[in-house]
Amino acid sequence: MYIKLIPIFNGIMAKNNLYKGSLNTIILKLLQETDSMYGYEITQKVKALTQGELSITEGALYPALHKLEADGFLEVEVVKVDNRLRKYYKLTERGTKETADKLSELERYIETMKVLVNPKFSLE
Amino acid sequence: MKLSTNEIRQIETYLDSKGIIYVDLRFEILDHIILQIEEEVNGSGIEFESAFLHVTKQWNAHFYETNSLLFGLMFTAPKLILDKAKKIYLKYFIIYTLSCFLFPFPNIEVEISALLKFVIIGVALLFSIISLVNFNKVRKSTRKTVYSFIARTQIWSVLFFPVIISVVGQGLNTSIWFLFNIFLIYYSSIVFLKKHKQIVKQFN
Repeated sequence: MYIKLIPIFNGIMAKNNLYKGSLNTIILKLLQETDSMYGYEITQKVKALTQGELSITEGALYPALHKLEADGFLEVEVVKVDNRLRKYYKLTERGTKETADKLSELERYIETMKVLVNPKFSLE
Repeated sequence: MKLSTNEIRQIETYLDSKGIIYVDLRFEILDHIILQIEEEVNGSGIEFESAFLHVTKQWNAHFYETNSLLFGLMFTAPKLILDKAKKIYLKYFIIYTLSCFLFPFPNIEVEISALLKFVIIGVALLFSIISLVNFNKVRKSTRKTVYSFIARTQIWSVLFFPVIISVVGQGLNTSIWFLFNIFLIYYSSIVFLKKHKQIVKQFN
């Protein structure tokens, strides 16, 4: 999935904020691959995977995380790290199902975009 | 290099000054800011003060005081807090609004005796008082959560309901409609109190 996402982010998405609509899917996908993550870790992971092309701002990340939590797709676990409390997010059962739905939705969208951006013409 | 206790205290003072007192957000923001500053100090080799100014400048954009029609314009909170409160409260707001459309037509009203009216007002008062106590517990709690903000905005609606029902609730249908709305508020007060306690326990 990452392999499919990276070229798109490197292209138009990052620069035009088009990724915003896919932010929830990105978060869900990351949490599907890593059991639990905290906010800063998610931003760093996205930055690393997209080689710095895409950076999720805190202003976009936390509202998205809170929405997913309010919808019951994420649950929270608080762990003491370095003498302070750290909030980890993990997928709920509903969240796991939602991730599968969102990913197939995104894949269909990417396929549609490919057809639109790079149409194949044939002479018949 | 990890930040010192004094440097972390400086970040906490900054969060206090911005009204980020709600534990469910405060700890994750504090953690995020600490890690951002540590990254800048370790990665770019700049001083703590410069990194602090740079990082807090980015966060200021999400901490300005704002309000929402969902809660009433007189209730303000930092944007990030209000956004979270809106996400939690929206479904309750929709249910409250939908219940308004169930308001019975006066021409199909059924007369009720003075005794029944007295009982209905009593039940309404009882549930309003319980709701009020629940909301107040959440609001006044020493450890604040986003539910504390939401509870603060709900108290007025609870105060008004018994007054309205005693004035308007003349017939059976209207009275049932008012009682239904009071039960909705009562239910939400229980949910908010439960969720608030869960969060406080998590962060203890």
